[in-house]
Amino acid sequence: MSVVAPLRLKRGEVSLADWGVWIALIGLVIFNAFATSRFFSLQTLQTNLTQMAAIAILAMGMTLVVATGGIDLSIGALMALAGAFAGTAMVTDLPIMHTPLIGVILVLLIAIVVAGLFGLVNGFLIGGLGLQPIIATLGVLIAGRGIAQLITSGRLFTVDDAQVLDLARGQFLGLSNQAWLMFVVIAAAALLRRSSVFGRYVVAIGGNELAARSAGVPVRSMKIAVYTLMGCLAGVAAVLSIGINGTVDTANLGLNWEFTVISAVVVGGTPLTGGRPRIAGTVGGVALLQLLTFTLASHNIPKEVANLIQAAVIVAAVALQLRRKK
Amino acid sequence: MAENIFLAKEPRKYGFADREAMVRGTRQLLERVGMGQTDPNSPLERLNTASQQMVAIARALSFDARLIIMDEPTSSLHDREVDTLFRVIRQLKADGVSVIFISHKLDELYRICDQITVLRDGATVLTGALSDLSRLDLVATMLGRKPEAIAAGAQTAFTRAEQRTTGETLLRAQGVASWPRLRNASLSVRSGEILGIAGLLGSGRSELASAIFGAGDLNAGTFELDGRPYRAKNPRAAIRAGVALTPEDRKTEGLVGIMSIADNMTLSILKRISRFGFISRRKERELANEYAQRLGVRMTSLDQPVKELSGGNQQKVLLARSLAVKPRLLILDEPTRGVDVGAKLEIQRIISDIADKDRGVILISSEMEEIAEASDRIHVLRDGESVASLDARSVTNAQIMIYMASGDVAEEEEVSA
Repeated sequence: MSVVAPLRLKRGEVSLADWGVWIALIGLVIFNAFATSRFFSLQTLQTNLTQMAAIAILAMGMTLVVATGGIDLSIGALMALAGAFAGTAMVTDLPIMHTPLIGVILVLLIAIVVAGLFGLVNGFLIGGLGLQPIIATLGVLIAGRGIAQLITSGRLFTVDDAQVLDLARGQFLGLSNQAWLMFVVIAAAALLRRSSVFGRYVVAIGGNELAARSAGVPVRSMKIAVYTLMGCLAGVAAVLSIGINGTVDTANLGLNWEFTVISAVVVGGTPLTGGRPRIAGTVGGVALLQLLTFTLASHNIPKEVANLIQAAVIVAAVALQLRRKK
Repeated sequence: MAENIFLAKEPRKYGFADREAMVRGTRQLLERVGMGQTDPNSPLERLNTASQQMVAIARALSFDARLIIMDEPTSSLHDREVDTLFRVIRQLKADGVSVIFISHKLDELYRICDQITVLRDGATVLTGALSDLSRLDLVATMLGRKPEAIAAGAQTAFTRAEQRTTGETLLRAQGVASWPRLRNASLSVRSGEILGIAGLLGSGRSELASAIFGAGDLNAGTFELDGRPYRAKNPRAAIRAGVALTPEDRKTEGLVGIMSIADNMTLSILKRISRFGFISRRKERELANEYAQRLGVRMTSLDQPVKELSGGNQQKVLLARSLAVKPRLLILDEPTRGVDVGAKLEIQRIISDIADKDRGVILISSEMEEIAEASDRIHVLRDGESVASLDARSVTNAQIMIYMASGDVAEEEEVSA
């Protein structure tokens, strides 16, 4: 009696909202082709890839967080915390911190562990105690930067650690290290989402938490895991940002980045209601926001006007998503 | 209540909602639906489902509606409440209001409807006076089959060759309570048998299922599974111990609507089809295909989102998910509710096949025939307490109903669990 159709390779439906971000991106590239001098150059590509790397790395984690039906407002503060600890470690005289390779690995490790631990706190508040994600992470946002500034006593360190600077500014096979790192994280996120048990659980929780529970999905520990992962990625982003700036400034490190990252996820077509992570869409969202910033900057548009235009893009993206629902 | 009824069209006085006029208007409307004694100021959430239903009708009346469409209005009401609803509908009819009454319960159609329209696969197949149509003809029209073919088979599709109540005791529950509904339930299920649980709405049936499955609060009680102490702290632990549940409400508690058929079917057993945390697509396909074939899921592909399926096919996907964990004990909470007649027969057939010598089934249903015909034994709950455990072969529907409804008769024939 049953009718079993052959496999369709394409999963999920396709609509304007899914492709909107790419259409907008192509439109912006075409605009630049005419309006921006020497737009098609390796230099331009390099600049944009490098500038979007840290945001993209964060946005991968955020896509998974949003897919569980949650949100993480605290990532900027987690970066500040990671920076405070890693920065303090960098300026010590311990010889191991200045050993080639080992030093930079230690810096990364410290940043990842610190931010990951605070991500774990988010996860515990949300998965363990059942707080609403927006409230829990808002708490960590407020407290986190405060703690970071206490640790550094509000001082601003200059980073002269060649390895950290090189990690953020150096190149490998013609592409910046940051871009490579971004590609690795994107690939890992795509793999997690497509074929891992973790990815499947994340989608199930965001799609219908009660049903996921009744199916035996470990809802609590998966939520704790996804916020911890988000924290770890904030640690990576912190080190990259420190390397670019050449300073550890806990008052500004990662400040307001959560807005850019969440915007990129939403623009990319991942609905905040959960259950539908769009990794590729998020990459497009980050690229779109980056290219928009680049375009506005290369045409000397004042920052205030630029903000307005970015806001319009984000609102338009969300409006498109609403249309899809109907 | 008044605020619900007048939402977005509050009577105004100096630009503010006129509370008095709202209360007055609400009282009039409530009288029309037989709830004249209810305080219009009390919050809606304090009313039971039936009364909420009436308030919804009152709200419809407040628009001076001349046509009210009721979509399965009785699905969560019990008999007495249905009577009240029907009284109100007749009154509405007398007042010149037309009603479109959508239901899958044939009895109700014959009690209340004048005209009937039958839809099948999204197309009208019949419209006419209901009095001209015999029940058999109606079912045949709904199924698109010949009346003789239907008459040959029984009303339900349970095919129990013999009663099987001799297996080893699989689950024993003692003094289970889950406040406020479930107060003191004790039962036992043997391997190979189907234990039906009968009880009115609110008697604690689903709460008992949740308690066994670790999905709800457990305030008291002990369980033994295979003679060993058992207590699930969450559904995950229950599944690991070999207990599976298909929840009553497929959409909100059962399935992840936006995920595909295959993804839903394998959600409970991802560990088994994955290595190093990564899912084997091939094993997943094989498994989902196997269950889709076995249960006869009608779909365009395994990748189709579950929310696009009909109720019956959704139920099959949910059954597949539970069967995939190879449970020792399977609890089915209202497996055929809101399912069309054809799929219902198929699901009933599947249920008969599930119980075997290694497995026990607890079947919860509001439908008397289903419980009576499927079960080997019937356990009756009333007001959250176990009142009887009956041999399904030697008991009539009327007797079961007396146990469900009132204590007087039941007390004389107290049967231990």
